[in-house]
Order: sequence, then structure tokens, then C-alpha cells
Amino acid sequence: MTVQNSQSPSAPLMDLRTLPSGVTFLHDPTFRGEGASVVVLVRTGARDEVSGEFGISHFLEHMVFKGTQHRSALDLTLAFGDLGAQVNAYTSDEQTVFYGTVLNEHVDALHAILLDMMNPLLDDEEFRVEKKVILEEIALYADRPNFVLYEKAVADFFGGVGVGQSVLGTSESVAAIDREQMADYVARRYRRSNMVVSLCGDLHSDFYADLTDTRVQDLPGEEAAGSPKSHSRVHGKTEIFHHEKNTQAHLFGLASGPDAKDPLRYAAGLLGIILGDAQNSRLYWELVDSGLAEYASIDCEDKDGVGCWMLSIAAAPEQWEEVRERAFAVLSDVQKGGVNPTVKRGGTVTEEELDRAKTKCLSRLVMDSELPLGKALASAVSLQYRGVPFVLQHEMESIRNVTREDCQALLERYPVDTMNLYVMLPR
Amino acid sequence: MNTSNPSESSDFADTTPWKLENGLQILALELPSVDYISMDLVLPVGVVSDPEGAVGSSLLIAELLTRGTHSFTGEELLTAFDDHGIRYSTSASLMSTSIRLQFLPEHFRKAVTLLKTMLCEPLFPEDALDPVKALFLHDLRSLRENPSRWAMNELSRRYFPAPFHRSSLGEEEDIGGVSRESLVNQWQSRFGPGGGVLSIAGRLDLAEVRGTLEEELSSWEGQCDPVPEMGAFPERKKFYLPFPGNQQQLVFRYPSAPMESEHYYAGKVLSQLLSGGMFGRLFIEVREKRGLCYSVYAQHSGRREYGSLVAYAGTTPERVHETAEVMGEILRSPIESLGEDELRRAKNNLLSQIVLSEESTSARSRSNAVDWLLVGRVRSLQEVQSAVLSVGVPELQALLAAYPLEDPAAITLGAENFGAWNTIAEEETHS
Repeated sequence: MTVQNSQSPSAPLMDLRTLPSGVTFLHDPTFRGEGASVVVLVRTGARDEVSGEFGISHFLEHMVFKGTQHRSALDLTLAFGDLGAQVNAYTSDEQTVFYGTVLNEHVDALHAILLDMMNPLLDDEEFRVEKKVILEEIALYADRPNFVLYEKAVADFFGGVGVGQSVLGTSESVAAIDREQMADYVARRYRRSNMVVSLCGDLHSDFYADLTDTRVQDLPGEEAAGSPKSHSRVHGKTEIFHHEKNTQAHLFGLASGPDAKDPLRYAAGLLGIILGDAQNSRLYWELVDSGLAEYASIDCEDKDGVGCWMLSIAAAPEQWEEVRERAFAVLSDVQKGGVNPTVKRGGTVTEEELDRAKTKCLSRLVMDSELPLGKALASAVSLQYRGVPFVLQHEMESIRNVTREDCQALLERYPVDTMNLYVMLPR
Repeated sequence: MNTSNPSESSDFADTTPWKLENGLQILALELPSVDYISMDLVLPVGVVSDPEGAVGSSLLIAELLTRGTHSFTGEELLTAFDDHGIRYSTSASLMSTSIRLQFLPEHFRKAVTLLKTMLCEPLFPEDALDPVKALFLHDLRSLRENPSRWAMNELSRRYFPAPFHRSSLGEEEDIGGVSRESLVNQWQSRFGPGGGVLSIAGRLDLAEVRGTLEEELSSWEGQCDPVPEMGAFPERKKFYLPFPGNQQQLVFRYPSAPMESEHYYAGKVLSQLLSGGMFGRLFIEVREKRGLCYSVYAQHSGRREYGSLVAYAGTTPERVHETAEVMGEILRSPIESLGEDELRRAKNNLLSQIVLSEESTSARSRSNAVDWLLVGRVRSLQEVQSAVLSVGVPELQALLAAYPLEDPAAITLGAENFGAWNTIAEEETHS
């Protein structure tokens, strides 16, 4: 499938193909610069881990850099260095993504290495050493109270299974993982049908599509199982935790929101800007401008089959209750006032605010879509969740088309004033 | 295989410089294929030159610039930015105070008009002062929630001579005590167009840029405070700060080549050899071979006044001693048995990083401004490339002869005082 440019029909905006191998291939040819990016997205993450595997997706992400059937860990490291490649990877609850950017003349080599890495060696000694690195990473985040709170909150909100499972795992769960378990996980999840290869740069689509097909031939071809379903659980409760490293109060609220395929996600993005953008939003004026909070934000995170509003605030510990009251007063006002063009009552969101949020959102989209890596990543992620690649012009159109009725429907279906609130205070 | 469409990229040297009559240096870079404009005003005035007893004033001033002017209330100002989709931020660091605006080309004039009101008629409203102070006190309070940042901060305070030893977060008591009147006076006397740089990059019409900036910003008057003289560095010592963390932080700091030193580019290449990409010696020896930590790196930074090399690792307390020993061994002889491949890789990686990062319009605008402030011109890509490529073993040896990696200042923050280093008492800490 080629996504056409309506302004200039001969210039495609995106090339999307399912290759004979089963891999989904994407190429955004609109970037004209000296660099190009390659992204390999595997549809697997913490959500797909079963009991005894917690933390394995992330551990595997590290092991993918520790050698393949054709290259040792050192070979990989030195090859990236020789190419001057800016390479990295991340694991979330729903995806494991490997990516790199190089000067145009090295794209072929980067593409070859990243696809070779999808068949990792899992060498015993490398496995033993890398496990120590993972345990250090877990220790690092255990010293960050806001991260500890986030993990506790999402685990509780989503019931501790599927979405909301810890990406890092615990030091106990990671320590217990063995090489055979990981090999089994690779065979189960690193399958061709479970991968998206996304490129952005001044490259020939056909050439790289064929090359992708050739380079994944050794990977298993069977369909990977779908991810387990997740459900959110909103009780409107407040749960308080204490952490000895805390010097601030961290408040983290969760409520149900639209999922990644729900068209209401565009309205959610705009309402998030109106309510909780970093500056000039309802929460900003109530809490940050007044100096009560260091930051206060709310936005919507959409995932596969489930989504959530996320409220995040940092404030002085002695003021956390006042901050909570004032934050929920803002959210409740908007929930009650709704979205109305003419009748302003309480916290009604006006047409003017909606237009302003659209302007803000559209400008940011243009500015944030400048570099090839951002484009290639956005395309791969959009394809994973929605079955269509990210195309800037289409995204902008969808944002422009959001109506006040959409926002009202969003509030009715996904209220913002009833949340589970999780609070981390100093011990 | 690649297509051969000509790239529209332009060299750093395509920047057009000129000065307004009030002394503000303008740097304009036309990038016709880009869809937006990024504008950075950088004034070389920061916390390091804040008056004694008012350390942190620059932070408050930068934040207060968005809180209202004589023509706009704070809310009107931010709403005007938002109505035009102008992304804005103000910030201050040790050495500079900056305003960044990013917008679509059709909003260029509006962006400059709003910049003008912030610069020429800031209100510093009395009722905004306490809330703004509270924001920075929150920031100071949160320092302990990020142990690596805390460790860096505590070491800087003991490594640099006054006033460069100041924390970029300011001093709690000073922030609490500074008055509106003092801030208004400081804005008038310490911050001005003279000595500052306004860098703009993106889809520009140079004639429009020139006309609009001259029309709107010429009425802004004043001069930036000179950067204080750098005194003698204190004796380098090693410190231990007790903290019951899951991890222990370890930071070494060495003097290195400043920006205009003949050894500057050798310093950059050396930091690539130590921790460039995933191939640096520290990364391979400390993390990849031994699994001692998740985060380990070395970074060279060169300013006009000084240069330094910082090496960092975070590890669990029971492994901190071994980590320190392995790092120390590598840092003591960083180019021992250096092969041609290793050197070539370090230089290629550095050059690739520079070219790729400059594809971002905002990074381009900012780096042009910083270049101008540090070396008085925008360096061309060819100049940087040839300087990096000319670094060989003799140049690295000369760097290490001038700046040997010996006797660093160091800090470890965590549960173990493994080297019996000088313990920092709780009341001597910054947060």
C-alpha cells in the first residue's frame, strides 16, 4: 500500500507492505537529509510475559546486543562504532524496539546488523554478566521515588497482569530467569509476523523491502500469539505509600481512557492540553503558577485495547492534601461544566480553548516530526497499534476535525474526576 | 544502496551574522526545506555572576519573564504564545540565561513582538515572586530523589573556585530572601543586548528577519555583565557523602582542555575513546565485560574559562570498590595500546554525532549561539571535521601531558566509604 500525497500525487508519503516473509515493512521517503533511521519493532513486552518470566522482555532487549549467530557482542559493538551509528533500544509493556540513525551511506550496514540481532545467540557467559547489569538498572530505579510510585500505581490499576506488569521485573524475578527460558521466549515472540521494520530517509523502498525479506529468512515464520487482554480498575480510592528517599510528595492518578484504536484519542490529546499541559493549562494556573506544585500534568496514554488518563503532580509533602483537593476541584469543574460553545458554567471548556489546544498540538506535531528517527519510530508504533502508519498530514487532519461533541462524548465515557490516586510521601 | 537526490543541508558557515545597534549579535541561518523556525536568545549571564547573598536570582529572573509585562498579564502572554502555536521556554544555568521560541514561519513577527515585550517591559509582578521562589525550592528539594545529579552537584561545589563552584540550582536561603526590587535592578544592570546573541534558524526570509529584528528589538538597551574572572582551583580531594541508596554513585573530575586550547579536539576524541557509543573503553571494561553497572560514561566539556573530564558510574555498594579500581586503571592509561582502528572509530563516531545532531533545526540554532559566545564565530563543519581528523596519537599524548588524568577530585555518594575519603557532614550538603 502506498499512502499518496494529496498535494502531489506522484510523491508518496509512505510505503507500507506486508512482505512475503510476514514482516511488515514501512518506508517514509519524505525526509531529505544526510541521515537515515532504521527501526525494528517487535510486538512483545512485559504484557506478554507469563509467570516466572517477569522482566524477561527487557533482559532480552539487552541480550540482543550481546551476540548473534554471525557476530559476537564485541563485533556488534565495534561495527556500530565503525558506522558512527547512534543506536539504542527500549522495552515497554507492549513492544521492544531497536533503532539507529546513521549517515545515508551506512544504512544498508545498519539494517543488516539490526536484523541479524533479531536472532540472538544468548551466550551463557554474556547472559551471566548481563544479568548483573539488569540488576544494577533495577537498583538505580529503586532510588527514584516517582518511578517506584509509577510501578506500584499501574500494577494496581491494571490488576497486576498484562498492561501494568513491571517492565524491569524485580531483582528476584530477574535473578531466577535462565537461558533456556529466554530461548523459549525468543522462539515464541521474535517471529517474522510479529515484527515491523520501519525506515525513514532518502532511500529506495523496493531495494530495502527485498533486503528486509532476505535478511529475516532465518527467523521463525509462524504467527505469534496475541497479547492477553487487560482491564483497568477505577475505584476512586486513594492509596498512600512511603519511601525513605522521598523529599517531595508525588501524586499519581489513573482513570480509564480511550485505547489506541479509539477515535476519541484525538479529543483526549486536546483535552489533556487544556487540562494539564506544562504551561497555560487549567492545572498549571491552579497549582504551578501559584507555586503549590513543581509540576502538574494530565494526559492520556492509549494502549492496545485499553487506555488511561494519567495525572502526575510533585509538591511539598506538607501540602499534598491541599494539592489533591485543588487538583480534583479543577477536574470536577470541567467534568460538570462539560464542553460548551456558549453556556459558560463552572469549568466549562470553551470553543476558544479547544481551538487554542488544536493550534498548540498542530505546531508541536510539525516541530517534532523533523528528524528521521522520530518519523520512523512514530510510523512503526502507529502501525502496531492502529494498523496504519503515522502520516503527519493525516494526523493533522484528524486533530483539526475534533469537535466539541467529541470532547463531550469523551468526558461522558471517560470521566476525569474519578480516579485512583496513588501518593508517595517521605517516610 | 541510496538514491542520489541532492540534500538540501547547508553548512554551519552559511549563517549570516550581523549586530544590532544596541549590541545584540544576530545569527540567521536559512534552511528552506524546514517547516518551522527556532529562535534562541542566549545572554552570557547566569548564576555564577549573581550577587553574593542573591545566588539563584538568574533562575528567578528567567522564570519571571513569562509572568507578565507592562502590556500583558502573565495569562495574556502565555495565551498569546499558545494562540499562535509558539512553543516557549526560559531558563538560566550557571553561565547563561536563555529564551527559546519555536514557531511556524507565518508567526515570525508575532514571536518577535512577544519576545520584545518580555525583554523591554518585564513586570516582575510582586504577587508572582513567592510562587516562583517556591518552584525553585521544589527543585532544590527534589535533588535527593536523583542521586547521580546530587553527587555531580556536590562534587562541582568542591572542585571549582568561587564563584564557579556555585550550584546551578541556586542557594535556598538566597532564593528565599531576594526581593522584587533587587531582581528588577539586576535585570536592568546585568542583562542586556550588549554581549548577547540571538540565533535564528529555519524557513526564514532574511530580509524580513533583518527588518523585523531591527524594528522590534533596537529599543532594548543595556549590557550583559562580564563573566567573573576564574581564580585558582582548590586542591583536588576525594569526598564521601553517606546516603542509604540501593546504588552508590561514583564521580571523578579532572581538569582538561578548554574551548580555545590547541588540545580541545583531542579532549573530545579522548572522551569518545573512553565512552563513545558502546565501544568506549569504560563501557566495554566496566559494563560489558564485568557487568559492574548499568550507567558508566566519561564526558569532556570545554568552555572558554575551563575544561574538564567527568567520569561517572552508579553501582551497588558491594561492587563500588571494584568499579572504582577498574575505572581508575582505564583512566590512568587511557591510550595504552591504542590501535588505529580504535582511534578511527572514535573520530568517525564523533563526526557522525556532530552531523546527525545538526539536522535538528533547534539544535542548530542553539549550537550557533553557543559557538558565538565561546569562540566569537560559528565554526564551519569543515573546520570541525578537519580538526577532529587531525587528532592522532601524538595529539592525544600532548593532551595527556598538558592535562594528565591523575589525582582527580572525586565523590562517592552511598552506603560505603570504601576508600576512607573525606566524609561530608549532613550540614555541609547542598540540599
